[in-house]
Amino acid sequence: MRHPRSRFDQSRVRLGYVLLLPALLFITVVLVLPILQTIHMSSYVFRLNEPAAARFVGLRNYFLLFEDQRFLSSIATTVVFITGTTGGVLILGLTIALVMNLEFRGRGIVRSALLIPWVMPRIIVAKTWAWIFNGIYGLANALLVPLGILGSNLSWLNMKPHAMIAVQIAYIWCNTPFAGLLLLAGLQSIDAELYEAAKIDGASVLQRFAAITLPALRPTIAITLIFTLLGAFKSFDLIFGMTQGGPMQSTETMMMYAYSVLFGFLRFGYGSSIVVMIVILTSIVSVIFIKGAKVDLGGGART
Amino acid sequence: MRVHTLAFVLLVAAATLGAPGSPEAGQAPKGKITAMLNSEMAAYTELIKQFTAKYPGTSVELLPAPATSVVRRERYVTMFGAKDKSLDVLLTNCIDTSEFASAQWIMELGNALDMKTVRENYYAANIESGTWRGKLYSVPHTADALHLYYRKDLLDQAGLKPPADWDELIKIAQKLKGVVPYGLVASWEKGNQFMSQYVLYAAGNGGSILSKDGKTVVLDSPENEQALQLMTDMIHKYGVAPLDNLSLTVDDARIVFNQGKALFNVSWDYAWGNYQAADSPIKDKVGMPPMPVFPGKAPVSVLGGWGLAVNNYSQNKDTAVAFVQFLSDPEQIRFLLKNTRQSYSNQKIMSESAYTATNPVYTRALARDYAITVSRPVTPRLAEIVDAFDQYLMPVVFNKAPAKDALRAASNKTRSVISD
Repeated sequence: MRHPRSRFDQSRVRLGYVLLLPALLFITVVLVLPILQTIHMSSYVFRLNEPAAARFVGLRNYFLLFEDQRFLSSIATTVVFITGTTGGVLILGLTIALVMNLEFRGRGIVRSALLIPWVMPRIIVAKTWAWIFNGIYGLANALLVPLGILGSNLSWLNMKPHAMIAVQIAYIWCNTPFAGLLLLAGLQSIDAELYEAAKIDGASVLQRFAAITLPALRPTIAITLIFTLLGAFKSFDLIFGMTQGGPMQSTETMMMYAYSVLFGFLRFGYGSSIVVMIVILTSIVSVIFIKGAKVDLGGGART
Repeated sequence: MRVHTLAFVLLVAAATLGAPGSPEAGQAPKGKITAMLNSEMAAYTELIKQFTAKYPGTSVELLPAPATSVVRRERYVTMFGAKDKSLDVLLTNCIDTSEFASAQWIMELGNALDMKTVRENYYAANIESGTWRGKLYSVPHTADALHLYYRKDLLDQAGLKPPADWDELIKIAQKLKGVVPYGLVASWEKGNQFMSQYVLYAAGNGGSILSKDGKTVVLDSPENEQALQLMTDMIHKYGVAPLDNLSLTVDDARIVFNQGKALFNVSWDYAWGNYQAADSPIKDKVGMPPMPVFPGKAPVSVLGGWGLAVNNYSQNKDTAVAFVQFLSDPEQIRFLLKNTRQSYSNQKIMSESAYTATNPVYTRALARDYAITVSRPVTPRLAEIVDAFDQYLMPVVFNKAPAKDALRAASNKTRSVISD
């Protein structure tokens, strides 16, 4: 933006800041202050039900974190979870977007119905998927065993890695619609003439996809990737509703562990340090992806 | 502000905020209170009508309670942590008393009740579970314990008597394999249920988690190891319990038994009402025999139950305490016994013939099992010990870790939890 030289420009800039002020205030109170308070709490040993025994320990909680085997495992579990879910959501979302981009009767209804998994309350989705994967009377076994795909009833939520697969399936089911819609919007902004020209040149479907669709979709894919990744990072309700982090902590992501420490053990000092680590790690991942995708979030494409 | 205005304001503030303590005698209850009890909303709504009729000028808002005890505890903890005064009377799990009382989140109630009558009328174990450091913080309300339910019809048909010990239970389940899909179905899911069920076997074998004074961890003992091994073997060696037990909620397990799919179910009081419901496929086919024993040991059960407590941040403690007293009154307990599916801690009323005559199997089982209950460890840090059990002991029952090492690890963790 050019340096505001005229007084007219200066007053516009000032007006801009004034109009921004309510939103900034809101974000500060709702977002920044709690984060600061959490950082502050993470420098204490503080149990919620023993407030008188709280004591300042500086960065000690963070040193303990790096020695905490369970925390380190939860990072690995989180990586497994977000990789599987993000990959699944992107692939399935792109497939759905490509299909939705075609002309067919009832397309409008199908597009609306597509959103249903995304808008359903997460805890209901979690409980329903827990029923589906229930080892004794679940739908999964009831379908797969008679079809011969499974030999006998599987106790899905009690086995590794079945439980992780189950929660990933539930997550993918929930979030594919959102990705699908984002990608569909991206698809629709591709100039149809490009496909016409390619067809005339004799390009196959796959060649058209690789040469036109994918490159044009790159910014949309990047945005979808970031949203899905961050969503998976902070995902809590699905795992909580299905496995509570079990069996044997195999689905215990960093969020689940933070929840146990904070609301289970009431160790608000140590729990805050876990939360701060989550924020730091998500920020790092976000920055890497945003920079790596070369997406200009300020509007206006640049490659 | 002028000095005497300031003084007046400070006086009023001091009077309303005040130090936690007993309600002043002779102060009639008035004003509004909020209560969170349990799922028996209709019965309590009726009682609230009677309460507000008895004390005109009062009103009670009854809030629905979360479905599970874990979520309920977190709701309370969040509320207490924020010093929230919006809830006055709450039903607290017996295992949470020490946590809430030690933090002074709930009010000491011993002064509000006639303790002599309480001691005479209530099950001793229930009173103890509402006590912290010698003072009563939670008036026992509902009672609960683990019981063995079994398919009397199927065992009778095979000419078998109910098992006297766990070995017999295993043999019966193996013998009748195929008659129904599952042998012993129970909720061994991570959290309070695994802890409760493990305590059942451990205490049944004479083992214990903490010493009597609560200061020493005695978890790594041969008795506890045998108990853990029994649970593991039931699934993996004898095949009489499904692996699913490790993720079934209490109600999931109850449903499996209720559908006639299992021979045995270890569950809480409430299951009986469901098994005997008019539309239950197993109505009149269920028995409640004594809990099986370990060789040479006495039978035990595990204590549950909920008590009435008053939020220490409440702005209307008088009315809250009056409501607690009202709900504990024998007449109200009789009403609740008749109109709900719960059992109550007033053993005098529970053994009245008017009640026992209507439900002989159930009431006999209750009286027998309530007398032999053991409590889960009484410590404000129980949640962390429960977590240590999930982390170290559950893998044993998953057949992924050896029992001895797991118990040692769990003991060390428990030691660090209570001594930190």
